[in-house]
Amino acid sequence: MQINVLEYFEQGALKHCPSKVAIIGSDKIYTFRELETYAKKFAALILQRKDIINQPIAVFLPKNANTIIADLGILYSGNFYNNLDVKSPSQRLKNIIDNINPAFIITTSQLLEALKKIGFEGDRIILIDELYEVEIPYNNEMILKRLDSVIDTDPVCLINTSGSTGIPKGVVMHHRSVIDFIDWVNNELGWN
Amino acid sequence: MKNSVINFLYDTVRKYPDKTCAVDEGESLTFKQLFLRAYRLSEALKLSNKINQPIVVYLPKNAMAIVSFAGVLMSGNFYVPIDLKSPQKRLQNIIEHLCPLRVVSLRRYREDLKELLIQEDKIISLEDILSCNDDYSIEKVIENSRKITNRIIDMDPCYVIHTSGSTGVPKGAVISHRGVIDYIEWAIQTLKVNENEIIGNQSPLFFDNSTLDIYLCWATGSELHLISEGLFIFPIKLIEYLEKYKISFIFFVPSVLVNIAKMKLLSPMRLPKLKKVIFAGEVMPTKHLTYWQENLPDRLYINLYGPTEITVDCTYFIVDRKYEPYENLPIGFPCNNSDILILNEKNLPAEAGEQGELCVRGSSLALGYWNDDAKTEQVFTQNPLQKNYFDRIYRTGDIVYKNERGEIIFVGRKDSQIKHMGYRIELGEIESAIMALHKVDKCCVLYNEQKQEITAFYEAKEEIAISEFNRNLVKLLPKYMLPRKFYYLEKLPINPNGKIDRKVLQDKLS
Repeated sequence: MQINVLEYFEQGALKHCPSKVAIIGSDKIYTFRELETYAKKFAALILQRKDIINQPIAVFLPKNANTIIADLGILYSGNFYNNLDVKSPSQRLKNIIDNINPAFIITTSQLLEALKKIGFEGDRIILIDELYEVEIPYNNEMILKRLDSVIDTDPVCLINTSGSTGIPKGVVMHHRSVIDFIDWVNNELGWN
Repeated sequence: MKNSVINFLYDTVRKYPDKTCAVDEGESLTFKQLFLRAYRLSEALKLSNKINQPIVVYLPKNAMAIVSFAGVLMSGNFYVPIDLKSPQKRLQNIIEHLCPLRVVSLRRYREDLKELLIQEDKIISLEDILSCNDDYSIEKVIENSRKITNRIIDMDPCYVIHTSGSTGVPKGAVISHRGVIDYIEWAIQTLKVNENEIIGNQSPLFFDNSTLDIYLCWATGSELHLISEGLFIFPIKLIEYLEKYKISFIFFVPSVLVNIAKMKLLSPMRLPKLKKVIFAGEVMPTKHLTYWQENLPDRLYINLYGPTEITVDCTYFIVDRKYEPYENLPIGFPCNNSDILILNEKNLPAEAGEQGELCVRGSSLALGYWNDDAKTEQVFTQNPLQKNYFDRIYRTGDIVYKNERGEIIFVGRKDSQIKHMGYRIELGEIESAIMALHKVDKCCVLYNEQKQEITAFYEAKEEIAISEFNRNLVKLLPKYMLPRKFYYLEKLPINPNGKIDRKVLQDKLS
């Protein structure tokens, strides 16, 4: 039985077509293999900062390839992601972050100011830029072994929907529900 | 992803229609035969036009019971196996509480069912529906059945198993399809089972150890032998049976393995086909296990652990060496996709070596107790370590700790912890110390609350002098843990599941 959404990636694209194009970003194209390498490096980077598991990590990035890398990296680190809307009004953003209380926020240097404005700064910020600037060694086996303790009812991500009280509700999605949905899509739509 | 366990059978009957599926004393069914009979039953059950309803299977352990389980599942309902030998009052309680849609049985049990106050029109006698001999095609049957079984979701019930309740009313643990699929896929991988396996079943079908035997058979195409209860009273005959039918895989309660060791029935020449010896349900005394290991070397010995409420098992230990008589056999490590928490009295994770209650999280958790919210809420609770989202754990009531190798060690039941002369004592610890005595075959230690006495019951070839007990036990236990009374019994009472019956012994104390 599939337990972790990452099995799609590990057993699927990485096994069958690692050098195929995975993502076309605004300024860079990534193959599946490259995507894997960046994501695992990023997981190592997170775990270097703090050895955590099953904790929420927010991603404050505009939609681009780096968002996917960050999400994947968070999953490889055994944690779950919460993609934030960079265009959200400050107060709304603050409400979300206060509610979720993420272990880290992943962002980029251009967006630091926006986070500072809502009082979020210091060592709970990880810049995605670091991924391209410093050498980060990672041990593939160790990363995968660590994921054994994540079970299918553990969260995969948080999605914020509007709440009538003004505080958005963070819906906690687990691995199981995503696998259930994607398996159905694959079957029904005959993906390959 | 599978939505119903019946998909295991759909796949296997296509692959191995003519392979032997289930064998009992009287008959042997191929997968195709079993499947087509099950289909006829499902057609009869479908007449009620309902799904997700409880169907009681009132049958002894035989191939027809396996047919019935499959038939119930193909009708989109779930099965409830019943112990025919249970006292009538207990069965009445269960039935009344369950309100089954139908009861599947045989004509010869008509009178029994009448006494249980089951309405005539709810009873299906298998003879009535299996007499016709029309030959359907497997594909046609699968296609027809899928119309119903595709409506089942994986969180729907697959079966209900009753466990004893302290108030006298048995609790019905409701197990989901998902729990079983999760468990069996783990088992196939870890126990390395394929279509060549020949499984010797000991567990009664109303006891959830049978889940492993039945679904390994359905999922892999292996052969399932429903060994009659009588053979377990005569271990010599049991071994002859295992040899005759080339049984390669057994999942027995320790009591049975202990009886064989006690009678010294093994030698390296015996049971050449037996490759996997798996046990669970109670503590396996290491000295008897050593006897097995020495006489049947190069077998896979696996200790499984788990309560009914988390779908059979949640930890496993592949025995990797010989254990001294005073050592505890670990229950080992969490099964894949099961998370084990060990919580101390403050509800915090126990440190290494610290004792705490074993709690389980994940897809294996039962959906709760049938029609009993109060009892469900007592033991299925929010994970105290995590309050941000719905995250249920099952509190087993079993006390364990992790040793220096990270292996989980079972200590005893939370409710078998006693307070004696101001000390907190785990009765299981006294039991393992007594089992270290060479002459003792089985034992059970209980606390006589009224007289404030630790009392030991033991089984051995002959009575053992109290001085001999004490001489040995003082080497392993502090003085305050020594039993005050020792009762010698030729045979300890055994409950219907094949385990030592503590309740009967407890009653003797008062």
